[in-house]
Amino acid sequence: MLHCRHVSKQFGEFTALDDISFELRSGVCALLGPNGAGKSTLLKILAGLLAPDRGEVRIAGYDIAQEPLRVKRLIGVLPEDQGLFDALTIEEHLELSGPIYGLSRKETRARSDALLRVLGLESGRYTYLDQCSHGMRKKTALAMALLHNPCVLLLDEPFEGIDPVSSVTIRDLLLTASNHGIAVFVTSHDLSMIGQLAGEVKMIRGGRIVFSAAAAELERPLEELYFDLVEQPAREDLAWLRCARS
Amino acid sequence: MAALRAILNALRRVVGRDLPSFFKANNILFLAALGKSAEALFLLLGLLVLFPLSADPLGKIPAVRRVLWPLSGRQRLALRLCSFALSPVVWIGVAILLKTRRAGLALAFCGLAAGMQAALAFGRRMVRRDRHWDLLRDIPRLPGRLGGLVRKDMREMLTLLDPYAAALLSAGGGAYRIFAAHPDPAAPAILSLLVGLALSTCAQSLFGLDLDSGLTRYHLLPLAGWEILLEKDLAFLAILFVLLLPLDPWPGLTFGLAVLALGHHSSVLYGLPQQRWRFASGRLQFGLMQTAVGIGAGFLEHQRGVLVLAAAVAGYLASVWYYGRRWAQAE
Repeated sequence: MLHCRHVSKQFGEFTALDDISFELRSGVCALLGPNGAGKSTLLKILAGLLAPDRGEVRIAGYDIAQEPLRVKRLIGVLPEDQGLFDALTIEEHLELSGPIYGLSRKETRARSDALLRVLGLESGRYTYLDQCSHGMRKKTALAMALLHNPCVLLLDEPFEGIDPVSSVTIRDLLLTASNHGIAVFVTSHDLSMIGQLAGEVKMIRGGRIVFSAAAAELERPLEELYFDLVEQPAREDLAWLRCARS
Repeated sequence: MAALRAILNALRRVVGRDLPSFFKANNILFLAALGKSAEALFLLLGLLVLFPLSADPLGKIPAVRRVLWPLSGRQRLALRLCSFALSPVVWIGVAILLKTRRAGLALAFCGLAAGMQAALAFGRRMVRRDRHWDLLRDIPRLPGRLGGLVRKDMREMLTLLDPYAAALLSAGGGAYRIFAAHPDPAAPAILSLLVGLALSTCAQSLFGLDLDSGLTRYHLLPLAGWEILLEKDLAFLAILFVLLLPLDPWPGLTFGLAVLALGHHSSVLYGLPQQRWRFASGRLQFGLMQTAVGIGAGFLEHQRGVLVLAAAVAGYLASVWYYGRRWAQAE
């Protein structure tokens, strides 16, 4: 469903992605890595928001550079900045999105109601986006990604800033989607949630994929692998950080 | 004292950075070429600017931060009093006092600004209580695939001051047409060009209020570049058309099509950001070109009729096609 071949991207002297290749046929694939490792850049390239310097991306057999509109109809994206308009309410975002993807008003309304209910956004449906919390914004963007029933979901940090109950809801939604044949590609920092969700795990560091394996075949806990292969937590004692009264 | 000084310094910096947003290149400033006859118009524009200009400077500090800072009651009172000195309204009041030596006039000016803020606060409170007070919410969703986007763009445009300046001109022109004993037959056409001019800077930055997040969404939606420009322009033309109704719509619409055709260049290639509740800010060279071509086309339409409007439509469509392709190529 998703083919990424020899993709590289430079920003000036900085190499954001260096010869990334992988395939995702179905299921959930998670990309883990520290800030600045290239996760969001890769997701932007997969979504057609950014053109790679080298390499190609194909979704359902279509080259994203050659047939961008066809590919955009097939994918659902939760981008890093969420891609929302401050001048619209949560509900209006979904109302706007449905007809653009060819859904009738009735179908848009029915799907919107279901998504708002499942994601716990019903009470805030009339709230403008600039008055929404970070979590509400993220869930709205996720609802927009799901509304048109895409073949491939590309999600940048779907669990970041989300309350625990909604995180579980989103996890279950994504598992259901993947069981129904939708290929899901997620980037995340939430190792425990990824452990429960992903069928395949990749780790990226300095623009290169340094680890790739099926989740079922992991021999060590994900956290341990991550700390070994990607980065160690910094441990420094800040001498001034202590209660002055003690 | 050090804490208060640090906060006031930060506040001074924030107010200083915000001030230039009130004085940017807007096509309506070309009316200054009319000399004395434009004075009343600029007074009205000044009145519009007074709404955002009179905002509480202390409001620029997030309320939560103000509460969390460990300041005593006396320090908070001092901060409140000192913050007034950072309000441009107080500076203008002092200037009026120094120039006219009439304390009453200066106080009346400050009172007017305070009244505006009270009215805005009342409006915000009512909106919080009942969302039907929010008039922007009532803009209907237009039919069709792009209807939701057009509504969004109309809402965004109505958070700039330009449409309100154009509305004042339109209302004034309409009143002149109805109540003047012997109205000049050319006046409606000229006034419709002025209404177009008041809106025209918005056409330089069609994506100015979408921010990065909105731009991302535009790039994700399965829409061709020409469709995106078309829906943006529809929002502009819909507002312009409503404002032109009391006047002579066709010269104004010709003006609108010409400024949109030229504005696509800066909208697509430069991405000039805009700020809500300010006049739109453009670039002088684009503004001059828009004004010259728009007024020329509008006058021609008034003299020669519908053929000129048809030519403007053709030029506009060519611009939509060309800059639509440029938009699709942009990352």
